[in-house]
Amino acid sequence: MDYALESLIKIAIVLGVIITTVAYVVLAERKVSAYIQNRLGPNRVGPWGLLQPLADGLKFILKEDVIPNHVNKAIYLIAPAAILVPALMGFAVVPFGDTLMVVGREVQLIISDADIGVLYILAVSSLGVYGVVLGGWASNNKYALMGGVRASAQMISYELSLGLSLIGVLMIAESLKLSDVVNLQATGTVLGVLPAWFVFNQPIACLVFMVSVFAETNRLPFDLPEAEQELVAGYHAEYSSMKFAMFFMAEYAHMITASALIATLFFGGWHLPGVDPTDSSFALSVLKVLVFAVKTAFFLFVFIWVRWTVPRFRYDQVMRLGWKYLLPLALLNVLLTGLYLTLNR
Amino acid sequence: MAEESAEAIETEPAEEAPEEIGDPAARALKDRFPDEVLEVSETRGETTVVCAKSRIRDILTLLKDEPRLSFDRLSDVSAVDYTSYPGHEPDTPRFNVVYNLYSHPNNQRLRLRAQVTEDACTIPSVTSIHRGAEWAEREVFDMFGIRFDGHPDLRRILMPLNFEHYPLRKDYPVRGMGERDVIAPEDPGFLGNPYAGEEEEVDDPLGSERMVLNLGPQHPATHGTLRLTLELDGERIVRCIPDIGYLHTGFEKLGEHHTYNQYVTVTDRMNYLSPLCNNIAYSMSVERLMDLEVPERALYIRTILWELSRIADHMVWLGTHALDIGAFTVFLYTFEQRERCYNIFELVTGARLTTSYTRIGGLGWDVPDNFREVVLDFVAQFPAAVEEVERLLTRNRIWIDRTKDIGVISAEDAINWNMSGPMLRGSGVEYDIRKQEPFLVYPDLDFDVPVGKHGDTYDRYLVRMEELRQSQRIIEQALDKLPDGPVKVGDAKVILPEKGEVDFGMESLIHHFKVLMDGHGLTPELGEAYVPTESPNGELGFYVVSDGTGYAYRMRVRSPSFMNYQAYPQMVNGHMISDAIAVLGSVNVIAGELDR
Amino acid sequence: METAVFYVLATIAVASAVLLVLFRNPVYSALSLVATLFAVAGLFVLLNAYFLAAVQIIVYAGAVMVLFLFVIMLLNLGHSEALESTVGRYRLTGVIFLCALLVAQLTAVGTRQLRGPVAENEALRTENVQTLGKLLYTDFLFPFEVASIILLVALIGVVVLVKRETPETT
Repeated sequence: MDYALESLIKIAIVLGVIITTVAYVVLAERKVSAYIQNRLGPNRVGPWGLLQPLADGLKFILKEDVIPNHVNKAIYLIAPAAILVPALMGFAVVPFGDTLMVVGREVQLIISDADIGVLYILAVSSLGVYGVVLGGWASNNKYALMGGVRASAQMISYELSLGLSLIGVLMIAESLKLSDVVNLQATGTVLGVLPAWFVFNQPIACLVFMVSVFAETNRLPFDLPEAEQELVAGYHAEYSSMKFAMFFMAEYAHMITASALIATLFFGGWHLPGVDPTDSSFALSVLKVLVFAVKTAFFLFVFIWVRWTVPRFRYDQVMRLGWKYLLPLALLNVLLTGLYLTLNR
Repeated sequence: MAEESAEAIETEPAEEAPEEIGDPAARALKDRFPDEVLEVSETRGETTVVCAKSRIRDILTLLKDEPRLSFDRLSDVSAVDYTSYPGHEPDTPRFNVVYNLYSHPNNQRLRLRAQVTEDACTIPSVTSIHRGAEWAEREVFDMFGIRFDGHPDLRRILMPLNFEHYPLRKDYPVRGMGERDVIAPEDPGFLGNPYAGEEEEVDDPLGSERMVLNLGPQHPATHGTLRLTLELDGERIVRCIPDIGYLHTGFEKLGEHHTYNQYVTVTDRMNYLSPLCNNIAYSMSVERLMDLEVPERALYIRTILWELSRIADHMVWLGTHALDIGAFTVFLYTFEQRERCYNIFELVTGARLTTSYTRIGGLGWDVPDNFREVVLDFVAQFPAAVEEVERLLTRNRIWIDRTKDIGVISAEDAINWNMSGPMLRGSGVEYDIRKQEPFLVYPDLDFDVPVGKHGDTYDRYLVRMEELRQSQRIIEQALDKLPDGPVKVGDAKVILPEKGEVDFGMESLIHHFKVLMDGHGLTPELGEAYVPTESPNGELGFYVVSDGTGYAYRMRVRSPSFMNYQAYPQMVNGHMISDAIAVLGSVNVIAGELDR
Repeated sequence: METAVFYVLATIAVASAVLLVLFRNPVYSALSLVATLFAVAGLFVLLNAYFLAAVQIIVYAGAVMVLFLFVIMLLNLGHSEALESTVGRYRLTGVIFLCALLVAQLTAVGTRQLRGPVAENEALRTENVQTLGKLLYTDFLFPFEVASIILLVALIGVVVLVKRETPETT
């Protein structure tokens, strides 16, 4: 029972943190884009616009909730949930710190250190497409349908590269547990100077993973499913009020999970070079959580930065990139890693 | 001022001897079609040939194919209803269909007017010779009810399909015929469904359905109110039917009911991205009609403002074009520059968009004292902004992939489709009216005309980017040469006297009174004039027919958007939806100018 | 606790499988199949077969069913009379196959019952993934490779078929 209680508390905390972060990532997106575009960004609500997310949330809740007559009601209602839930679920196996002593218990800072951690993430991320597809179909609108079709093709294609890019990492880690992957990165060095982060000994995998994750989260340059100027808003064109907000939140929750994953899998998770990974004093444990948060925040910034810099791909170009470049690259990486491991055995 | 009104159409088949004709094209026509050519006139440097309608196709074919003449571009087709024109007799043909031809090799223009009677209200279509006549002929049909035999798609173009009248006929009142009570939603014509009554032909071995997608009139990428009906095979466009007229405002009809100076305000609203160009182009046509010599200072100021307008216009084009392809940040960078241009416009004209700065015979008032510094400030910081955008786009892999080989149109097609401006130059045709048929003070200024090679979206992008730099060069030179002096002609019958003088001077008060009184002020001679200009989007010109009153008898606007846009279906067929958006951005259609 | 979860999952699996057949709208049918797949994945978890559960969701729910939905959406099979007539024609065949399947399954369950429970593999319980991987790449290497070749053949077959139908598409 203790275990269950502990898990519940962790889930509550993590969910709370993610949802708050979502709100503030939205603010960050607006602030960073404003900075990039010589603007000020939101600065009316609260100091530096810090209360803007509250105002946004309030607005979303109070907006009229329009359900068009021509939609397929049941599925139309399920879709926002179907996209938000997997986006939030992904975080369950991400270690956001090492361990922490709380009231005499050593608590592992991860909701579930599952055996199949990486597989779990792939499974959950592969479900994200349902919300998009169902939303697009149920809206009974040609633009939304095309958005849904684009999304499903894109997400299925990039899932392959996403999964394959991780195989190299897993071959070295010899475990699907994310905590093992982080612990491995926390020990040893690459070439004597660099920390043993996978970005340094699996650079191809890191590249492929990052590109694929951009495609999976439907962010520019891969935002074709909602391409404002082509498909108006794509799959969520017919959604309003809180349902639209759920699509919106899902995108940012996806981004947070994706950034956390990039940090965990390739940039050492909570590991900070120079800090003894085995020392589990309270201060150090908190520091590790902070390190993890900073790394995640950095990749969130990269997401935003890229979005406001590059134009959008075309549908066939996205497909070509995925199938003709990323997938062979990921396979090559598996091959190279295999060769390396065999020769070094 | 010549008293004989050579343009009057009612004269009997011309008695003039052929040797009087100076224009080789007109002479050739007279030789080859002695029965058809009724009258030739050469006034104000413009040659007009009035002919019978029966062999209009042969005439245009001759003009196009004869190597000496090679009038390869039909710049405009319009019509004039002469019902209430002075001297019009009931038994003479009511309409004239006006063809405005241009020869690229010889750099010559020729105006043909084919007579059409009200009873036999048809004329052979010339679309088989000049594809670009398609929409213009449709517009003439829409506005005058003249049918074009052999036209591939003779439907109304600006008015609703079930509209019953012909608005530009003289018997159609400017206030309209009251509210239409025939609007019936079930009437396919009301929705303008281009598929109405058409059998769906299915030629598809896989049996997959094609989807018809309605893009617009409300759509983020249409920048105004355009509508495209796309027939899609997956994401690939099989057929594209543009539907325009959503912003139709009857500007041409209004031209017949505003005095010449009043109409300046209407021209603001045509290409609302560069209203000053419209003001100036319009004024130039009327000034030619009245043989007015505008003072040099006014010409220089007009040139500077013209190029600033080009920058403002291109900035909006660049921003929205990039935005359509997903590069949002470029949009804000360019709009910052446009705002700077607008600040200058505001400083000079008092308004940011509705500038109404020109008067017939000059400018409304002189520029303020700090004009030079302000413009120089703008010009100094401008190259950095262009540079920044170029760094974001020009060598960006995604940008190149999205624009290269997209929406290709060959040089030949571009001419045949009657394209102009950057669209034409992107296809490699070096035709810039500022060079070929100079206006304002362009001959005194040194600048280059960039041309593309492939005629694709990327080349059009490069051409426009280079034009921005050239505009900056022009502005710098023009500022250096800006002379002192008046900005209006001295003719008190044309220009309103200064307000201060009116209060204290008898003479000025009389002039003020006369200029503003109906039928006393600005009254050009009978005749017609057309001045082509190089607006940011291409050839912009006002074909003005005067009946000797203070109102234009006919005001035809040859707008670049209208002509450039008609080749759009050909440019996007076989491409994907995303490409259609990209090409739309590169055509830079301005709805106000398109629908007028 | 475990038993209760088992019965909940089993009910969901069976109920949505029945709904899958009963729904007229193919999108609903596809979604109930997804529900079935989830319930079965849950059953796998109960059996400590985490790997199978994850793969079930990745492959079936995440890829196969999405493609199903994709096709259904593209063809818009919402109200297809053609489909119904096709189903009517094969009704008898369907019943025969269903009976055959039932018999086969009963036999399978029956014989296993006779043989007693599958030997408990302690390794599978603790190091699920490793053990499974080792088994797949040693004892069951041949069937594993054969399966992948069959998939490859199917893949190539599809490419060939599509190419022939519309030679002009690139």
